[in-house]
Amino acid sequence: MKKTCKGLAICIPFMLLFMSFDSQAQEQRESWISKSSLIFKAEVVLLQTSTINWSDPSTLGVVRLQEIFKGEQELSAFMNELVTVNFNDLKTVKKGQTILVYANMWIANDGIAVTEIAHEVIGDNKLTPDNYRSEIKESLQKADILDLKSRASKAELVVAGTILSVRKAPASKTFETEHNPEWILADIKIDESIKGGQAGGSTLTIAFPGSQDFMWYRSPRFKEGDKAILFLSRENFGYQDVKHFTITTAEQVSDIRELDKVRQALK
Amino acid sequence: MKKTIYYSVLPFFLLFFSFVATAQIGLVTTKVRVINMIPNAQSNEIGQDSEPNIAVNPSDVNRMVGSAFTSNPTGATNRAPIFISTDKGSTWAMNNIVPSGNGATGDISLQFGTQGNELYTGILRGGSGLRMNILRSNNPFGAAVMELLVDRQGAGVDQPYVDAITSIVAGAQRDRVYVGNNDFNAAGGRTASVELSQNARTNPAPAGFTTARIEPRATNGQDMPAIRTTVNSDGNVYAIFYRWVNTGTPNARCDVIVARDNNFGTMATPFSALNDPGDGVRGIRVVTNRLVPAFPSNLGANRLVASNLSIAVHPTNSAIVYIAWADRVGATDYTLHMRRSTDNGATWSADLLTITNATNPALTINSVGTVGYLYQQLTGGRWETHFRRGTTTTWSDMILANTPDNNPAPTFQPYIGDYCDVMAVGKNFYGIFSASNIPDSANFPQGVKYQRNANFTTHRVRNLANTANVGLSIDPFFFAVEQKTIVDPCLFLLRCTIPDLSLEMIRIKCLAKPCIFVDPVPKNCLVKFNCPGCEGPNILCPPYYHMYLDDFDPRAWQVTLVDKLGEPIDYEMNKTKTGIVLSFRPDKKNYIEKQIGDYYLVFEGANATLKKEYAFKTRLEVSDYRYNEHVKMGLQR
Repeated sequence: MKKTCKGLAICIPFMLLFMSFDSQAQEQRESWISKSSLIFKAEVVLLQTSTINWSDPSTLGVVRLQEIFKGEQELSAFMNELVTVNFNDLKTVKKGQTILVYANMWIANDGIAVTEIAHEVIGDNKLTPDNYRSEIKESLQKADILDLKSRASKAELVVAGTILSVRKAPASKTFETEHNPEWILADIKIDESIKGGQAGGSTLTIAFPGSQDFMWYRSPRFKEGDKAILFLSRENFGYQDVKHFTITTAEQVSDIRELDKVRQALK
Repeated sequence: MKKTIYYSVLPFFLLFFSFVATAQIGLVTTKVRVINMIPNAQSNEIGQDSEPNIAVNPSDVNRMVGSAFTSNPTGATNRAPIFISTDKGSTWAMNNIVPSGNGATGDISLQFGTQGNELYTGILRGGSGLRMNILRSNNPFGAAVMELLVDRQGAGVDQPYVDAITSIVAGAQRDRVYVGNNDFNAAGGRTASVELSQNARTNPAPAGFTTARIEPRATNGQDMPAIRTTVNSDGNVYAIFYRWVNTGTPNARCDVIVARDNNFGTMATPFSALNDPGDGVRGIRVVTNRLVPAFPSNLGANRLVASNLSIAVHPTNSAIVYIAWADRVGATDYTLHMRRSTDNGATWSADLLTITNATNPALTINSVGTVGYLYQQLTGGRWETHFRRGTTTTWSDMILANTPDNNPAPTFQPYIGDYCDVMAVGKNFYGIFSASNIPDSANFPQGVKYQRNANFTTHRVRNLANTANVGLSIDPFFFAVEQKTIVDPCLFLLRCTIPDLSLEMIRIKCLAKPCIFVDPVPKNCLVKFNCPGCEGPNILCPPYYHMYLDDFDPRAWQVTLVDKLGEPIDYEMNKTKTGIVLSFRPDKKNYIEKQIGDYYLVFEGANATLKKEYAFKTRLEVSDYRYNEHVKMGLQR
């Protein structure tokens, strides 16, 4: 904050006020980050038109993509290219502005279009060309911690563990569908309990899908000797509700190398 | 105002008579289009886009939506994509509007009402197991997520499959929607069910949906996954399902049951209009105790899950119904059977068609009673995607694709799908199937157009920058089989005139009726007006082109815009004070710097006065904006 004050009595209230605004802005940004799969810096080039030939361009603008903070894989092919943004309110942007866009993918055809969650103008009071990188980096780190907390809040147990063995679950199904998860059971040694009452050193059995069905093929798979941080819950998947804790999504697993970060986040 | 037109022999015509007008002699032919639906912007895509479904809006055939097992391209998990087209399937985009928990959907099917613009979708919600959602959208081409009408899981629900029809009740349109599903919440293992609503368009969630249990008999613990419906405007709605009778998987024994309701599903006991003469129970057993291999079973690299059923009712005679199902008749085969009833499902013919080692049957009937039959047959390690048309004994057979099985290798199941889809609008057929995306013209006997970057010489799909190959994958392919009036390629030269090539003028004279003039846009750029290209860094490239035709007489002439293959392109037509303006933006693949691209103005002089010369002043404006915005911003000269 590049401000100068001549007297403490005058400065302190202003400083507190600025700190409060900064904190609110940070929180808002973290909320936007949590809702966005794409975050990028861009220059506003055209308004009320699109690269996707959209019939109603009243909320659309065309920006030139300059820097990617989230969604590298999806956006890198469009670096320095024109991308369409569906703005919440087109009056809040002007041609020539440089903005940070928080968005999700909307349309892909001859070009791509994203729908904004929010945007910030670089050059206003909060973000400057000098500080936007450090600001967004800090917000991304905080959002990462919030994400860990959110994942943990959905889990009954959070543990660091080692897979001792895996085996097919005994047949218990009552109905037949192509979406049978074909549960695999894994015995885990609990190396550290981060949330929940499971004692370190104890063992626990979890279930994960072994099916190659579209519904399950992206689920994490484990083999003997694997180590991971597991966010465990009991979920209802319909007819084959399993009695064990289940792991079905990548969100329920973190790399064991992130143990310190998880510990810090959940302190 | 938008109008589309096809000229199936346009390339031939253009080749030999590139700027000679021609006359039409009205021969009717069939035009086939096959289009890889992956958008150019998703050229890096390598997902296995199997199990496709399609809905064409009967109120506006330009507007279509498709689905497949396609993930949100950003990796975002809260929405999954559908494919959308606003130019009759010529180009497709991905629109992320399906609610999801993992960026994809499980089973998905789609249907528009027969009037209006409401789209209905049945899905297994991504990331939520056997959780069925029924969704609607009044604009699937917009950005708003689809509205949730029904959300059911409990013991689990499988394969929601949507059908819809619009009725006029007391002067108002009502969308009646039917979602066949295998509901494990049903008592006594009688799981074949239909969620139905008599007015799904406007009612708030759950939009009047109620559950009809259509399985009255005892089962082997459940019915099989596929429950399909078809509805006629007179109120007859049919359902077909596999009743699992006995014997465990993979050699289940099933009856094929057809049930009917004669008042849109509102009978006191829904779907009770047909009683089987053998046991007196509702639902006709068309065949009994058939071996239906499933759980697990495979045909080639694609799994079999007892989902291969289809049913279609004649649109103007509800007594005529066609069905298709699959079973095993020998030791190792998987055989499709197609039969017909002409008495509202009471009795059934012998097989009209029997296809060995084939899957994914999909039936529809067009406005004149011609049946369209789509299926995929495994022959010599390759998937042949067939589309057949007929009524009883004579069936045409068209191979849409002949692609390798297991190349690429499956990344999950189903490899190509537990179903594919076809529907009729008017006399025309529109369908969708999934297949290997190897860009090889020999694999697509009817021709094919790829939106994504592809090299048909090296047979590799290419990345977005077109600088490197990307892995082969399964892609969804749209197809259209349409009846068209072909243009006589100027066989009668006396009926043709040479178009005038003067600056900023188009002069045409009709010598014989009907007459059609084809005016190549690149020649316009050479003679009639300047065609600037992409100049400057911060402009749209390609830009929008606005072609003005002053003194144009719309009572005498109609003008349309087509590409070099005679395919319709997406354009706008607006009236001006002095005539009309045609506005469009070339797609990147067809854009030619300073020439706009291989596009053609087509003038049809249905009401033109014979031998009278019509002269239109013409000029071109280039803009970053669509026409309305171009005018609003005062950019019009």
